[in-house]
Amino acid sequence: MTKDRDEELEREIRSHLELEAEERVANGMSGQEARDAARRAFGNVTLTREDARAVWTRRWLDEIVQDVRYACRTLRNSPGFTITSVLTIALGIGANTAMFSVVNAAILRPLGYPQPEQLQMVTAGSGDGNPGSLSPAEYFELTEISQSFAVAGAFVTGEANLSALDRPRRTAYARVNAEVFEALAVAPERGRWFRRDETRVGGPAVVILSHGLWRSAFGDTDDIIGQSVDIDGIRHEVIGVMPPGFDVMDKRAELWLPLQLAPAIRRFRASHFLSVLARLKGNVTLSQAESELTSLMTSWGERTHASGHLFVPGEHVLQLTPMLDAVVGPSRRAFWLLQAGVGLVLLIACANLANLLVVRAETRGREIALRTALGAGRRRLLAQFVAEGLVLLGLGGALGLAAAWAGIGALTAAYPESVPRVAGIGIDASVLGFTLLVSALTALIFGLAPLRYLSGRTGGRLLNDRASGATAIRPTMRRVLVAAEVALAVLLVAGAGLMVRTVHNLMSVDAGFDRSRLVTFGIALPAATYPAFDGRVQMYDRLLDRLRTMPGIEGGAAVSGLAPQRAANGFGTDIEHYTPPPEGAELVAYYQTITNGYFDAMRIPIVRGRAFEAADRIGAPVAIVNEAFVRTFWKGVDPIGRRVRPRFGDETPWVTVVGVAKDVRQAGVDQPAGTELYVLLDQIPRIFPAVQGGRLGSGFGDASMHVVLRTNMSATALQPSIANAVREVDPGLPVIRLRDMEEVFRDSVRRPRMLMQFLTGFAGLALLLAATGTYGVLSYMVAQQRREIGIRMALGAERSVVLRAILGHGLKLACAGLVAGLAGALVLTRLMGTLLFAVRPNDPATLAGVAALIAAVAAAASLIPAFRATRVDPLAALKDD
Amino acid sequence: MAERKVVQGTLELLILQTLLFGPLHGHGIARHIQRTSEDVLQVEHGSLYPALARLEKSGSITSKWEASDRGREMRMYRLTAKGRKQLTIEQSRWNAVVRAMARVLKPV
Repeated sequence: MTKDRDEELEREIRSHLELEAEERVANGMSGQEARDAARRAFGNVTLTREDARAVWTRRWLDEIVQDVRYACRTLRNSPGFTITSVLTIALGIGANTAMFSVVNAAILRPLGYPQPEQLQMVTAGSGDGNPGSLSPAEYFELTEISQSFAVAGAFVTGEANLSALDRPRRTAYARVNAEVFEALAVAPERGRWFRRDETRVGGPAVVILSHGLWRSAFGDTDDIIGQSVDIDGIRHEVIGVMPPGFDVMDKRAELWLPLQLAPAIRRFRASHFLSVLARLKGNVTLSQAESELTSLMTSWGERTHASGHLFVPGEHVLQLTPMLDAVVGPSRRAFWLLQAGVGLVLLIACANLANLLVVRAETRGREIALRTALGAGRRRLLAQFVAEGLVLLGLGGALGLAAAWAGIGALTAAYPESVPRVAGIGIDASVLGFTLLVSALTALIFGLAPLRYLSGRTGGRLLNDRASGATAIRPTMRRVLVAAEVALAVLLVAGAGLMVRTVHNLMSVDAGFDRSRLVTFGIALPAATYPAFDGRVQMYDRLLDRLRTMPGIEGGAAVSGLAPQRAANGFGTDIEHYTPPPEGAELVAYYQTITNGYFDAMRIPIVRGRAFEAADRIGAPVAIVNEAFVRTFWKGVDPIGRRVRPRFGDETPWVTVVGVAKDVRQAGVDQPAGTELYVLLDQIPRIFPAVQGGRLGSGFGDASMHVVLRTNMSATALQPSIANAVREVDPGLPVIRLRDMEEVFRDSVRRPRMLMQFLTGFAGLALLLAATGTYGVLSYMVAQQRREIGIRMALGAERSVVLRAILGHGLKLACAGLVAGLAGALVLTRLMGTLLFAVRPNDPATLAGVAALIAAVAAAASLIPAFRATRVDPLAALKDD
Repeated sequence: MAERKVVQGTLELLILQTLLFGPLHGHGIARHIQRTSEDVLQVEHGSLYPALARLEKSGSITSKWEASDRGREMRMYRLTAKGRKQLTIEQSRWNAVVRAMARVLKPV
């Protein structure tokens, strides 16, 4: 368009010149002479063209360029203000962008499978909302009778020893059947999926690698397909490589192994260990599938000809959870909370900036007044402020984006386990969109204040005001801004305070054992080297004997599941003197396999009866139960000498209970202790005859156990001697995750700890900003009232009175913010309810602490300006005027 | 700055007045002003085209490429209804200024 117009103008001027020349020729000039004269008469052609073009191009664009240039110049002249503002904006935008990147990647982004909304996790629960695993019988029956699902797959996850490039490493795996891959519908990057016949019992030892493992462990060689790798001592043929980022249920699995369930396992109806993932048929909605499940459950027994341990509405039920919810459900609230927190920090930063800009506008009052008087339009002045804001925002935004980039890396490095779907975190289009939105909001919030302030004044009035006069400035807006900052800071400090209390409560819960001076590590025995049960027991005996004789070790034992982070592995159990509910047997939540000396090493008191003894290793089957077991099944019955029988095959014997141990919080310090049954490792083959020799045994922990050592040394100090001891027993065994028990504990509360650390950080920033704001307002006030203070002091006012007046101003500001903030906190902290432990959202002690802290910070921020006020020299102040 | 404005306003008034008699191209407009003012008003050709552009942008005139009587393709400017109205307003304003000037310059 412009180009056309340019060309037309060019052509028009050309014909003009030609006409002019022709006229001159007609008057008797020669050709060249006429052309020159015509050109002379016309004047500057280029200038004309530019002038004419300027009519059509948008003037304001030029003006903006001018304004921006001018803004850059003025900003360069006040570097202190500029740096503070840019850093504040960068901080706000950077933190928000980084956090939103996490929220976006972890929570908002749909799962990377085709039609992810069709994917449902099927869980068996007791109706209290806690999802559990399915038993094989239940899984197979579900696939046989349900009409809603296109396909339903089963998987279990765990860790295996992988030898790659001659280096043993511990690798997370998922054992899946072919149906899992069919449900996920993501094609392998190379090779192929498991075939259905490969995920039946007796199938081949094949493996599919994750993209990451292929690259890191095998140097992304092209001929990986068909090679064999050593997993737990067994050769597996690689048949495929999955594309980058592929995962199921955020397990970060690197190996995909076939789940080869023996038909016999169908007998163990009450043995729950399968995760089930199903894809709804295209035309079936979630609610249709749910109602089908409900109606199936009422007739489940008739349909499957099964009895005992059946689904009972309200007690033992099947539930569907959309896969995304299942993956991110637990962390969703936590991350939105953090996003809200970082948003509050941004708001405070904006308030601070607005304040800074107002101050600037005021100190530049004379300049502005002068320019207004000289004819500068108010619109142009405002435009200049906008330009200044834009420059600040542009610089801050760019810096913030860079900071976000770095921050995301730091965040995922510091909290790799706490962020779901960590692989997909990055700055993508929606994150950039979010950043733009945040920047626009920032501009609006911090730009609005000074603009409103400016438009409310006329140049004339400003010019008439004496800049040093106490009445020149209406400080209401600045006070409101600071009070708002304090109020927002109160919200953050209250949230952080509640999380601090929560983490403190979690860490001081009595988990049932003494975790101080306790060191733990894991041992996993490869099935190839230790095919038989006896070999495994001998290995543990030798290892524990060696460890116990090491200097600094007071006791040691092995256990299958390490508190406080073990998963329930319960199954149906017959219990003497207890009448189970009409449907099936009762579930014992934890089956724990231990070696002798476990209760001693962990300092778990035996409250009745006795612990295991050496004689039990070869004696009749015995067991120890916990207090929760007695409370649940044997209320008013003497547990010692009573018998229980795991429902695990037909030949399972009755086991006599010889003792009661104190409750241990196995599944987490915030979880109540469940019913628990301890058996001795040596007795496993007698108590579970079906287990012996087979790979089934790994479920009972004899192939992979945790060693606990009571010691006065730290894990780091013990590391070399432990490595030595393990090497002497078996050079091929890696020591897995050698840690102090304290660390295991801290790790078990890592999500609340992460929340606490972040919120504390945000709260610290908020306090700092609010303090700066308060300080700024008071300093300014003191500067403005210098004369007045000087007069008062000249008239004999005490320094302490002046000091108290200024301090009082600061505290009054803080108080207004505090009241508003506390009111907001009472409402907003309620949203944190589910994230807290043993503290209520409106906990009075926490809120009182917050109030005290805010008051202290406000007082501290007011002190310097207050002292400065007392130093005002009355004479100098008066002379200044 | 203020000086240029006066010139601009005057030039625009002269252009509008010239176009009252019929469509004309840029050169013709300049020539017409020069002739009718008996060479008193020399139109700076360089400022003519920006003025034409301004008038066209404000909708007082329109332009169209047409073949002139001499067969040359010229951009012809034409007064619009809005331009006519504009001309009357500008004329009365100008007359007011002229009368005022006259009163100042020839005191009774």
